[in-house]
Amino acid sequence: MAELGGPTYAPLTPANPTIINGLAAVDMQTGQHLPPQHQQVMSGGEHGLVSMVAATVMPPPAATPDQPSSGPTGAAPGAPALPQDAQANTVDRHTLVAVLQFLKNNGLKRTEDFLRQECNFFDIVDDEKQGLGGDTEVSSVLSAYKSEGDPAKYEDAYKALHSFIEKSLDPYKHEVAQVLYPVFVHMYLELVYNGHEEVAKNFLERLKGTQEEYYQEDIHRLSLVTNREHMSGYQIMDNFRSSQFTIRLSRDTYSHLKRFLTESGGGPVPRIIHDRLYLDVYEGVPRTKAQVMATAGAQEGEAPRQVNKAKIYYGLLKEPEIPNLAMEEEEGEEEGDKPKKKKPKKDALQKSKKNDPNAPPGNRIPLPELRDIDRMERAKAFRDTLKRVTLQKDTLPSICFYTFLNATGNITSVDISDDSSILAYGTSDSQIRVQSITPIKLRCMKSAEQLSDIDKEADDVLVRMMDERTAEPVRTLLGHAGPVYSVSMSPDRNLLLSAGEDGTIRLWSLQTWTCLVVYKGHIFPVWDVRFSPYGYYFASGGHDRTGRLWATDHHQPLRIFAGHFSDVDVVQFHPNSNYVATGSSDRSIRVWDCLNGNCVRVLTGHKDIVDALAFSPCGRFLASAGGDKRVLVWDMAHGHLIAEMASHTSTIYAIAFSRDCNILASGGMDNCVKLWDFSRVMEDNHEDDTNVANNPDVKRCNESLLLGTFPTKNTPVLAAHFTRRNVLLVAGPFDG
Amino acid sequence: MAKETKAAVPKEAQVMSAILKDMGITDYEPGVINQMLEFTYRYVSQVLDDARVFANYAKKNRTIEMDDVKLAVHMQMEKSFTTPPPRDLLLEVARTRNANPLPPIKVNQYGIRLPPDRYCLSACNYRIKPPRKKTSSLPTPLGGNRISLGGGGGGMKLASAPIKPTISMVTTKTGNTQTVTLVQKPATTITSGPAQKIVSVNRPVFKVTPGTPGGSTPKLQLSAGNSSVMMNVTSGIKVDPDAPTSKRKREDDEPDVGQ
Repeated sequence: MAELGGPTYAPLTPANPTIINGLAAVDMQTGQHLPPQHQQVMSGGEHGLVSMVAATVMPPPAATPDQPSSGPTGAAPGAPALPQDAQANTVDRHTLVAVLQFLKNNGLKRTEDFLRQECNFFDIVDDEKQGLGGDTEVSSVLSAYKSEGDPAKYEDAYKALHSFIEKSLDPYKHEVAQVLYPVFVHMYLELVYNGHEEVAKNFLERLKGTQEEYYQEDIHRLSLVTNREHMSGYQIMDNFRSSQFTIRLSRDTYSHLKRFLTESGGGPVPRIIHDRLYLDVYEGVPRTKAQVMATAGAQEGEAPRQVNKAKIYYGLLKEPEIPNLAMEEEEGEEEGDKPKKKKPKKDALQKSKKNDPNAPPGNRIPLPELRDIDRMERAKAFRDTLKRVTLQKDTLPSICFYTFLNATGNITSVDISDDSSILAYGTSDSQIRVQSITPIKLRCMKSAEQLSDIDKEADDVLVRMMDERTAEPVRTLLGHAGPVYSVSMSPDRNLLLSAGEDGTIRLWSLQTWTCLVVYKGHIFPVWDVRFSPYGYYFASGGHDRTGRLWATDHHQPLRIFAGHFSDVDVVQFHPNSNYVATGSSDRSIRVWDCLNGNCVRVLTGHKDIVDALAFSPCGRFLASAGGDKRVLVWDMAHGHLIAEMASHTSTIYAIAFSRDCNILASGGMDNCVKLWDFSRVMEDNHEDDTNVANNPDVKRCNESLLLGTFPTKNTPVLAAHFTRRNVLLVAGPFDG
Repeated sequence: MAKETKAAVPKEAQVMSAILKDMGITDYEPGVINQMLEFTYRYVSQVLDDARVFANYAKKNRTIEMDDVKLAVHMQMEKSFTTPPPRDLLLEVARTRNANPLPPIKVNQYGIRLPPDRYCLSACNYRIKPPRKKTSSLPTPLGGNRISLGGGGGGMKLASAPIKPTISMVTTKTGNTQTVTLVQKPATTITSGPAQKIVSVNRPVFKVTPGTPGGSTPKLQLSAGNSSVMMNVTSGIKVDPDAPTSKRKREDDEPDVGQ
């Protein structure tokens, strides 16, 4: 910036010619080669000016204000590499122009005139046209600006790059093509930064059509930035300027690209690629187009290999022993043909008791201990599990759709409790309503006086403490100051969490039907909140681009998951409660470790924002879906994309796994529920166990996994949930 | 009307619809344009006002210049259009926060795990002092129920139509002093609503006089001195009209209430 040069630069001190002619590093006066430190000036634009100024401050002592009169003693200001002949054509013209430019910018009129005199160079040096197409080093010296260059050249440079890529060999082509978008963006930003508004606009207009579909949204946002003043504080700008767009290239592709860059000489392209892009080079075969397309799409490119190397414990926690309760029930059940069915299920459940190498140790993160009610709950769950219907390709689940009538545009979130007895929904007028979907109604707790009367030692104290007279099917909770964007019920059905546009998360008791705590951490709208499968912890994600892990008994978050480039739209716990996955508007998914808050996986591949996440009950797979209308399935072991299911015609908001991991259900704005065959995905994945680390992934992308489509009349699907017996419950508001 | 040409849309509205189109918004109600125009007008006039203030302050010639406007816009941005913190700050905060290990869960603690009471909404959010004997505390007698809620320095009298507030009172007669405490019942219709803190130590004078022994509704008067107690009186408060005997007793004992 000019201000760097201003204060420290005494106007009459001649510029030390050796600095400017760093290329030659020849001291003008003595003809000796200068120590190489001056050459550092070449690197990094901003530093250039500072070091140049610093170096200039120690000019030869002969420098006096009378300098110009000392004539051609070689201290001629700014005369680079100038033999006494002072012929313009022996001087590197570009350098000369650059020097003149510099002098002009810094107001060194006399020096400039003198130099011109010396060089017989009286052409007007215009700010705009520096003709520095090939002279990046000088430009980086001169400009502490982000860049300087002939604006017209940008487009040509881009086109040159484009044609180079077109002509590349097929193996390299697709990977190198990824370079186009970030180069385009940064070129545009440079043009804007340097004030070439018109050129920038034209540049954008002409070339944005050549970019991929999924970048158009970001390009549109960028197009609003036409001025340098606009640039500061604009989020997407900051993302691009501060972070580096990541591209993964194979070694061969990289050398191919490098060859082109050195051949093409200077220009903005090599500089941009060098400074602004992060080229993650891997050994191996270049990827095919399909593979490249699979992981492209995120706002900041792909995930570098290093990021996905951490080990994830994706196994399930060891279940505690469920005592006799289960046994008793079994005997009570019908005999006959039933026992045969029970056995295989029991075996399947017993298997989990063996030590899973991928399971985290039980004490990795503190988890609430098991209370008696929890044990009873688990016994109940176990019994339900025994009655579960195994779903397969030919035994599709029954689907029960809960439709909200007269609620157009009003319902913003729906959640069904784990045992499928209660349904809670949040509305855009800040109400939360809890509805019982079993004949058992919702009761309120007795008053304090009445509670002191009941027998606390009774077995059914939990029933006795609820007041029978207050049984109602629906209850309303009021308190939020804006639309409620997410509700989540605790596994023991006593607590409800809600997150709203007012930036707060509220904890409600479903026994006294009052609000217990308000968690204020996100100040901006909170888009999603979720209880952990064991209760006690909950996670939230909001507009401030962070995900947070909380515990109900701390008023501040325990962990902050920062790293996304845009809003966090959806959060989901892993079944073992050790990891949290967050999906974001920057089209990537990150998996975080609750223990230390580190990001252990970055999954790119979605082409639009991520709206729904679901972990498989076995813990190994993560399914995600969103605006790009596809469901993607990821393998947690290495972070690879293993399946892609495209059939929906609009945004998908709800996905759910069946309890035995065989079926995946999805629903969204296209008013359909679709069932996918997940068991096949799992089978195929096992065969490909060789697929480790380095290279992506065999990717499946076909409709043959689709088992069924169930359209509704006009009801988008907001929530999907498999009961413990594998009945699918879905809910949505009727758009009459 | 069909024969007339379309009413000329004012220029600003045309500009606004062009802007909306530029941003990719094609589907909107017609009222949106008006709202956007109002917003624009308010924003611009606010900025210019601020710019004038800055210009007046800074220069003698008092004309608004570019820098003033820039500063005004900047101020406005920080005030109304806050954006989430920048990424590096978030990463820094996260790093600090994530360095603490997860706190262990206290065992043997049953029931719902909640933060310390200060952070919950479960506290009783009002307090009632027993009535004072001095008549000076009765500025306005009778006539319906009046509840004045004291803010710091300006009594705000909320004269409502007889709302028949009801507070259940537990009168404990211990020795000479008689304290009247209110018990907030958990499952009643008193919704906790926005949390209201009791801040003051200087107590408001709260006089509860039961009505005439006939069971009519008692009067509640609360005049706040210099306290900032806000009482959340909803219609769910119950007062049991006490028997005349206790009335006399209450009038007898006047706990000293700091003025």
